[in-house]
Amino acid sequence: MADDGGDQKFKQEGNAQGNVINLVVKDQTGNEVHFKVKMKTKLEKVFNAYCNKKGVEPSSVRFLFDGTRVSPGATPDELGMEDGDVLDCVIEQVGGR
Amino acid sequence: MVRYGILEDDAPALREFDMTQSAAARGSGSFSGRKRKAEAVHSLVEMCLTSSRRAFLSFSWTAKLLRSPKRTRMVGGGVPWSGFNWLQHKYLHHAVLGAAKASSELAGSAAAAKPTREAPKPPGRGDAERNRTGRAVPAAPKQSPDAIDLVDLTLSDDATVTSGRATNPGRASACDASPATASSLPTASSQPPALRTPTSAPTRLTQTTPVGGERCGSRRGGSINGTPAALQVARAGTPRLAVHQALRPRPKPTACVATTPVGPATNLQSLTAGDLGRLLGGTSWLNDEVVNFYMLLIQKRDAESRRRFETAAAAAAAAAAAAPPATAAAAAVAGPSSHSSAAVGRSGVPLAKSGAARASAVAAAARLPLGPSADGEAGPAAAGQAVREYGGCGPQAEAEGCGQRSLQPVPASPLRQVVTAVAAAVAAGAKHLAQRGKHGQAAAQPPPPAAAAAAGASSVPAAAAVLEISNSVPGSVGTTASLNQQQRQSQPQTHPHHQHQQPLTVFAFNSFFFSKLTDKGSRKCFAYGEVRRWTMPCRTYTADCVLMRDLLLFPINHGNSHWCLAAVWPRRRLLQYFDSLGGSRATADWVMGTLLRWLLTDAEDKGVTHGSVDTAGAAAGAAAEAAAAGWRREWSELRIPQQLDGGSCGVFVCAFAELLARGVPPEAFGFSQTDIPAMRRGMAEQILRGAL
Repeated sequence: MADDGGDQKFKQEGNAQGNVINLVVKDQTGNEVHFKVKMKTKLEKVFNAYCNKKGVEPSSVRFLFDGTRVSPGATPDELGMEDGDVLDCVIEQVGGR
Repeated sequence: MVRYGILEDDAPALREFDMTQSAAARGSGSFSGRKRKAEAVHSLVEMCLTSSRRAFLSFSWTAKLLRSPKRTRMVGGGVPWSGFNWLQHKYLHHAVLGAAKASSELAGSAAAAKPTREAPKPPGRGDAERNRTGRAVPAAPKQSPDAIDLVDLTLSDDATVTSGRATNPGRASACDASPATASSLPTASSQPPALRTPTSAPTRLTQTTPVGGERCGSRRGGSINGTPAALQVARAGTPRLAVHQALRPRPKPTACVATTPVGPATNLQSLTAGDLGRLLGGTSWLNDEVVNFYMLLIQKRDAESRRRFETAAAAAAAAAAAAPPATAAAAAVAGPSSHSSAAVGRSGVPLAKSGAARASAVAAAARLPLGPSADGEAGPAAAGQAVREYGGCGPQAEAEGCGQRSLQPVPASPLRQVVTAVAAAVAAGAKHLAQRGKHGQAAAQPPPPAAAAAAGASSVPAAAAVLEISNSVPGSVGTTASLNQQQRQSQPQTHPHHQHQQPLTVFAFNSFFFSKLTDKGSRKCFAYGEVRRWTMPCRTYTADCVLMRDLLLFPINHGNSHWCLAAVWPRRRLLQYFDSLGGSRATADWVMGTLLRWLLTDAEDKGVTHGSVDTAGAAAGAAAEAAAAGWRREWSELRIPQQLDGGSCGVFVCAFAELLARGVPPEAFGFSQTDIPAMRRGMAEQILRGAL
């Protein structure tokens, strides 16, 4: 999984510190934001960048990777992510009735 | 003058100090003004927290401090006690009991009658005592205005730290007043809970039995225990929640209080203090974080119990292969755990009857399985029963088996291992054993948990043998015990999961699953593509495809205002929809229809054929359609507890899920709206402890 790090450009970039993959963060309306992420980078960086861009509170959204809630401390490597994988950004659910 | 003292954990002797003395000790001079007092209180509380000792203030002063908002500010202003609830809570935990004792001993007031009764006891014994006193004499402290004030206050107006919420005052203060176990817990989540002193077991059982028994039928009679784990924790009169919270110094709402890994070990899902507050404070709504976290715990417990069970079964097989008949061998196998050998030894004595001999009875029952397997007939009922008994690592088995607190996953494993080992090793004297087995069964409840955990991994031969037996008709043995078994077997339609040879395998989906699938709840949408990858083994981080599991749980959020639970039993071809508000037929149909469609589509996509689905081929769409016809849907038929308020649906959902995962049929769900506050507490404790 670590070695299919996208195209030439990424490979060159990634030579220094691990491979780089493309990640897509998709919100519930289907809008996508693309990120280039090193395999060893904590996803927190992606989340924060996404939240900043969208102007949402990080605590009010959850990031799911194919159903698994992704914690900010995890890295793509640990989660077995591959190039082009999609992270779902969903909004916190509450309910009380 | 403010009196306070320190109560050593084990030595009931108290030491008294004047506030001035302590002030001198701290080098802050004399105490005259209010501010100084506040400082002293602050240091006192700090001391309580940092040491393993209990400290107390004189009761009236404590009450005043807690009651008056002015003084609240006083304490909260200068010194860093902005979160006054924490101070208050710490009192609840550390000071109330001591204060009661102090006021009765020092001031000689007859006021704190109840707390004094409990105070001098070592906490282990206090556990059993507590419930009784708490229930029996709730009005006792009425004579003391101070005590009442304090207790009422601590119970009523705490926002984040509702440790005493919804229990009666006596119980609450008592719960929080056994800090020895409390302070012996270094950290919360990863800590295996300390064992209770076994002496408290019988008393506590008699305590809990009537309560749980009323609702879910007589436990002794062998019916299923449908009390949610959270409720059992709460009913055990647990001080743990208080302890866990006290050990964390004033977390911010964003601070993480509990974590559990999702998928890879490094991917920790965390729960913040704010979320826990939502869980505890009944007024604010539950969010997905708590619900999903609880689901994860359920899943984790399930996986763990299965794993243990399989290792136990393997061990049993090995033992059976090595030394078939000898009990001694069994004991040897069981060796590592002292508890086990004790049980074996005791079961050598015929018909142990007292409540204390419960363990032996269980062991005896456990012996049966192989007795029959050798002789061909004897007590198949007991066989199934005994094994089932241990299938659930649920609270039940442990609570009754040994005197420890319920819901401790750790001790269950050796015990179960032993039982299986014994079962596998003992072949001789089947008749004799059969008798004892009946007795054991009568005494033992058939905890449905992870149901019918008939000996283990079916690949193991010995286990398989046991399975056959437990599946075979419970013929000859005409006791009440076997009657129970027969009853159960006579309704395979309704509870086929009791017949499973393994513990139920459960997978709990994320609460976002359904909203993804339906695109945030649109009734027409079926966005299978969104969730197609969700069940791939590499994405669920499981070895097997989750579609193959016995039970799939789907917490469902409706319009950000309500929580429901859907359960899918692929092998039973059954869909269930649990709505604690009843819900409407249309919604139920929609949810179940969507899930069924998803299941069939996904099974096709993943090439999974369920035991019963395979007849339909699951290959072509038409076949899937046909298969859909054979699925039963249960909704209004389910007689499940209904909520009566407007804010506890999430708790209901968690309880439903927990019970289902333990194999409890819906009609045996044993809780109601009145238990919800206690369940919240219990859930919080489970979460903090990191395990169900």
